[in-house]
Amino acid sequence: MWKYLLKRIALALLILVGVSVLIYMLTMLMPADYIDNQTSAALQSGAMTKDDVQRLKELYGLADKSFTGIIKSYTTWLTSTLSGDLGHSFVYGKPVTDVLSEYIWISFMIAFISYILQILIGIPMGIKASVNQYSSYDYTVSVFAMMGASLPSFFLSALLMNVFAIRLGLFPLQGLTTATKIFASNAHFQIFWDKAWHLVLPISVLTLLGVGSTMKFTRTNMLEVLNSDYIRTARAKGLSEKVVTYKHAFRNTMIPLVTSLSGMLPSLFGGAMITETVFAIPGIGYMALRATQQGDIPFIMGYNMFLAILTVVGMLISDIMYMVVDPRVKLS
Amino acid sequence: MESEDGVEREFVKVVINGVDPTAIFKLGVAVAPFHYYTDGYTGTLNDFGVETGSKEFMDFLKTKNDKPLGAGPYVFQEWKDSVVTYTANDSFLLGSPKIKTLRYQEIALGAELDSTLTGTVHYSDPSASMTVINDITAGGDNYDKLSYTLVDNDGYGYIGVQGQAIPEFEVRKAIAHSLNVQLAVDNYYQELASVNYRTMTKILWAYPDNPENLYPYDATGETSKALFLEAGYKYDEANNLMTYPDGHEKAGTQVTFKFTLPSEAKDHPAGSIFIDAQAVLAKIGVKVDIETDQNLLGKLNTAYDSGVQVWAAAWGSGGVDPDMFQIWHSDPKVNQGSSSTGLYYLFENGSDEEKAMLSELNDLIMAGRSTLDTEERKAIYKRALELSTGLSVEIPTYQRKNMYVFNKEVINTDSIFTGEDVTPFQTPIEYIWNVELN
Repeated sequence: MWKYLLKRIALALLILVGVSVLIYMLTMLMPADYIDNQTSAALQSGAMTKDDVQRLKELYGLADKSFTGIIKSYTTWLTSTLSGDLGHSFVYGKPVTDVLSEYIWISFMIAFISYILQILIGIPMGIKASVNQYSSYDYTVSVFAMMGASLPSFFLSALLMNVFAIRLGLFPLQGLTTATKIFASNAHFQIFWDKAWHLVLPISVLTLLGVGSTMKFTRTNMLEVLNSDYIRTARAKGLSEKVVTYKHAFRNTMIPLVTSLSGMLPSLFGGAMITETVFAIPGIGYMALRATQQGDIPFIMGYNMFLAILTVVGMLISDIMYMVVDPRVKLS
Repeated sequence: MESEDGVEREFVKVVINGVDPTAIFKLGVAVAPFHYYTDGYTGTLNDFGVETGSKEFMDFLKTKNDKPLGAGPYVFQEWKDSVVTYTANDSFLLGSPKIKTLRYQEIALGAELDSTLTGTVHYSDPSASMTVINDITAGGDNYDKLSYTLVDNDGYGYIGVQGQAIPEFEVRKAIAHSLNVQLAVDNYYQELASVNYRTMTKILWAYPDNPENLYPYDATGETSKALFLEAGYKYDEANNLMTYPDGHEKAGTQVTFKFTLPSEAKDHPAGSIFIDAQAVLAKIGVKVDIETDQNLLGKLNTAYDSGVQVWAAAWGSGGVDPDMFQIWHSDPKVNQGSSSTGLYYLFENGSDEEKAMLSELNDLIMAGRSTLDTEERKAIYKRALELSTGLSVEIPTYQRKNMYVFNKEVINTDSIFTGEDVTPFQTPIEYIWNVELN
C-alpha cells in the first residue's frame, strides 16, 4: 500500500506541474493583462504613454510575452512557489497566501453547511425514491432534482433574492454584514447572528443546486443494490423492509457515496464564484473572480494551484476511502 | 494670513510659466497631515516635512499604506467584510461632519436600486432608466421612501471608425450616414438621453449651440452607396453586391465590415444602431458582421493591430475643460499619446483633404489652449469640433444622464444638493459634512 501511495504522490506532483504550466501559459496569453486593464483608460485619454505602460509591464514581469519569456517568468514563479512564496497579489496588494487564508473561511462555511444540508436532504430523498421506484413521489422528486441541478446559480439567486429579500424582506439582499447597523465590538453573538442571517440565501442556493445530484446519485446506486441477489435473500429471510433498506441496501450504497463526497474537497474550499458574486459575499470565489478578470497572475496561479492540490488530494483520499469502506478493495 | 472670514490660513501662490487653461485642474495636490505621516519616523524632519525624495521616508510611508489619512471630512477606520468604515473628522476645515459614521458597502453591479430599496444601503447610483423613475414616482412596494436626482453624465457615447483599417474618407462617411444615432435614445435611454452631433460632452461650456448633424441618416442606403462609388467601389445591381475597387487587396470580393460591441447588442445603447446599419448597408450589398467582445476596451489602444474596425464605446470624465489635445492632436512630434481611431496614421498617410483638416485641427487645438478668453475659445472649439466630427473616425451618438437614488426617510433631503444644484462635478452628497440624517 505504501508503494502505491508513493507512486500516486509522485504522479500527483507531475499532474500539478502540468496544471501549473497550463494555467500560467493561458493566463499569460490572455488578450489584456493586468497592466493593460489598469492603464487602458489612462492610455486612451493620453494621461499615460505607451512607454509608461511598457515600463510598468517590465516592473510587473509582464513585458516579455514570447515563448521563452513566458518560460523564464514561469521558472521564476515556480522557484519562489517551491520555496513557499506564492508572491504578491497585484489586485489586493497583499501576499497571495494572506488573501487566501483571509477569505477562504467564509466560503468554506457556506459550502460546508450547504453540503451537510444536501446530504441530510438528498440522501433520504434518494432512498425513498428508489424504494418507491416509479411512484408519484419518485417522479416528483426526480423532476425537482433535475430542475435544481440544471438551474443556473445566478438565476436561482436572482429568483430567491427577488422573492425573499426584495418582496418579502425576510433576508438581506447583499453582503455579509448589515452596514447600516453599528455593533459593539464585544457583541459577538449579534455579529455572528447578523452574518448567519446574510448567509441564509446563498446557502439555500447552493443547497438547492446540489441536492438534486446527491438525490439522483443515491437513488441510482440504491436501485442497483436493491436489485442484487443478496437483497432478495434478505427479504426471503423475512427481514423487515426497513432493515433491508437501511442495513443491507443503504450500507452498500455508502461505498460510491462516500468516495464521491471526498471528491467534493476542492469545492469546499474553492468558493462559489457566481453565488458569492451575485450576493456580494466576500468569499474566496468572489475574490478569485475579480482577480481573474483583472489578470492578477500571482493570485490566479496561487488560487488555481490550491484548487489543483485539493483535487489531487481529494482523488487520493477517494481511493483510500474505497479501501476503508469496501474491504474487498486492495490497493496495489 | 487672515482671510475675510477671520480664519487664519496659510496661502500658497502658484505661478505658471505660460498660459494653460487646464493648469488649475492639473494641480491635484493631495494634502497629507504632517503629524500623522511622520508619527513613528526616526529620520530628520524639518518645518515642511522631510527632505524631498528621501528613500528612507518613502520606505517608512509603506507602514501607513493600509490606513491613509488626508485632510477630508472623514477618517478611514477599517475595511472588513466588504464594508469600509469612516468616522467623522471633527477637525475638518469646513466643519465637523453631522453624520458620525459613514460606510461604503460593496454590492454586486446592478443591485444598486434594490439595495437601496431593501435598506441594505441608504444611497446609491443605479443606472438611470425610465423604469426606475416610473417605479419611484408611482410609489408603493417600499418605493415611497425613495427619492432620486438626475444629472448629465460627464462623457458621451460614440461609434469609432478606425481610420487605418478604413482609410478611405468616403467609405467612413458612407458608414456614418448609415448610423441612426437617434435609436440609442429611442430604444435604450428614452427621455434620459439626447442625441449628440459633436465629439464633445454637452455639459461643457464650449459645446456649440444646436450644431448641425454632419451625417444625416439615410435609411435607403443611397447616400452611402454614392459615397462608396465615389471611392471607386463597384456595385453589381443584379446581385446587390458591393465589391472592393481594383487595386485593393480584396478587389472583387464583397465589402465586409466588422462592427464590435462590448456586450450583446440588446444590452448596449449602440446595439440597435448597429443592427439597423447592418440592414441599411445590406440594401447596397455591403455585409456587416456584428460581434461581441468583452475585451473591446482593452483592445482599443491597439485597435488597428487588434482588428477592430467599427466599434461602440463611450468617453468618460472629459468635461473639466474643452481642451482637445490628448485625443485629437495628431502630430506625433507634438503629442506622444496614442489614438484608437488611427489619427496619427491619417496625419501621415491620409488624403490631402484629411491632412488639411487634421493640420487645421491641430492648429486650432493649440490656439484653444493658449488663451483664457472663454468666448474666443468657444469660437475656436466650434470650428475644431466640425473638423473632428467631420473626419468620420468618431461618430458621437448620445449624451445620457446619471442617477442617484436615496432613502429620504433616512437622509434629510434638505441637507443635500437637489435639482439643478447637482452637476457632474457636484453630487447630491458632495458636501458630505453637511448631510444630516432624519
